[in-house]
Amino acid sequence: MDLHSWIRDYGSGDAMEPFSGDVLLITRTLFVLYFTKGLPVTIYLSLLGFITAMLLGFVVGLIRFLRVPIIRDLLQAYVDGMRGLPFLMVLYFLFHVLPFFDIRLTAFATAVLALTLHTGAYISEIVRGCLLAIPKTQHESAQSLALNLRQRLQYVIIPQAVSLSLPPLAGQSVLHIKDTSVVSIIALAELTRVGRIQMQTNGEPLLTYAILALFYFVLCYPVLKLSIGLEGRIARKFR
Amino acid sequence: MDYDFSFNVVLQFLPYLLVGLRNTVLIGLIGILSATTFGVIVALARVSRFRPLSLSAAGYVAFIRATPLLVQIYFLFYGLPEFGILLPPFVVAVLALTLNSGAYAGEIIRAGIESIHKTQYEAADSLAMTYRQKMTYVILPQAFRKIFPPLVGQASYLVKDSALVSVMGTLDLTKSATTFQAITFRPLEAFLPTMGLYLFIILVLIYGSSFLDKRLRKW
Repeated sequence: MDLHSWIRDYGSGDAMEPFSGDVLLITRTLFVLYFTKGLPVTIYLSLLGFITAMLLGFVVGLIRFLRVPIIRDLLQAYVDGMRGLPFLMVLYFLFHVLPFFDIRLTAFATAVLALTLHTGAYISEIVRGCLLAIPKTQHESAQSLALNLRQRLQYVIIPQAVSLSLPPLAGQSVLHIKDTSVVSIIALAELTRVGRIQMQTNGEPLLTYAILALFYFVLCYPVLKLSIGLEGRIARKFR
Repeated sequence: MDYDFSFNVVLQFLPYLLVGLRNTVLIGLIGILSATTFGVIVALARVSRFRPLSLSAAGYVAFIRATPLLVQIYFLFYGLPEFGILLPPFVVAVLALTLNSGAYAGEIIRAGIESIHKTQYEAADSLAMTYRQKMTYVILPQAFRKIFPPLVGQASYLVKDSALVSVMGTLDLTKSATTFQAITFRPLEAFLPTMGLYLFIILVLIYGSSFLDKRLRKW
């Protein structure tokens, strides 16, 4: 019997009842497994991936801001490529193609690489946008104080751009945390994967995914609120 | 580093690729239309003065924005049959994308509605327009002109997100690529044309949106 007709038969409620149906036990098991097995991996992936993406995004954004010839065009192609491709495609591509070129990464390394490349492109756009948002007068006044390019960036431009970039970065980190759910496709046992495996054995998809959604909600909602709050603060500052 | 890329394999892949392309374009188009429609409903609910309505709309938007689309898709795909609602994957795909993108589009549309000046409301009121007339003839047309570029941007996100519906077996671009890859074990031939098509569709939407943004600002 194929899976779909099995789901259909199970959904219509006739005949098949292969699972225990002890909702309380299932709920407890789910909470324990999500908390001990899935959540640490998701948090680790999110943090590690976001830190590396920040580094990549900062470098790419800065180079594009400084208009370094040639490299800048290559990076533009990279950023456009990442913005124009679904994350799932990037992940599949790395997962299936890299081994052909003798680059054998674990599922975790592939996931971090894909997340870094994908989120890094978006962060580079944020970095570039925030650097561009600093008024020209700031550059000119720094120049008139005889600061060289490095000093100008380090002491004048970047500190101002950082405070500007916080709300979009927080927003991007929410998207990043949500994107980590996609890596469950390449069999990396993070939250979503744990949920999927549990769903196949406990036969309670609604409960399993409702609690899964709850875990993501608890993870993402504070960051989302933070992003909205920071945005409001900056909007008030510039009014 | 010896992967002999073969165009013959790409030619073999072409019929499947076209099926995937058709489905992705269909899902994208239907999804964009229904998500925008649903977004208008969400936005109107959010700006409503009836507290329970605006609060539940806000809660809905927060839930959608704080949970991954993949979980939402799983939830619908495996959850709906629990209620005896059996839909083909294609319909579940459109439904999931509508519910997801509708929340984001709703936020954009709400921003558009709120950006319309108070005098416009007052003028409509002074013409004795009903709520429905005020919205359809005065507020929404002006709001839509303002928010058209970000809405197009959201449409590009919808097309990108639509790759995820392949996990429940909808034969979209991604699914046709992964299936072909699994059969022939030739990832480059399967993925490169697919990625090219995605890039084309999505970049046209992204650059189209920034082009429109510049154009509409001149008005």
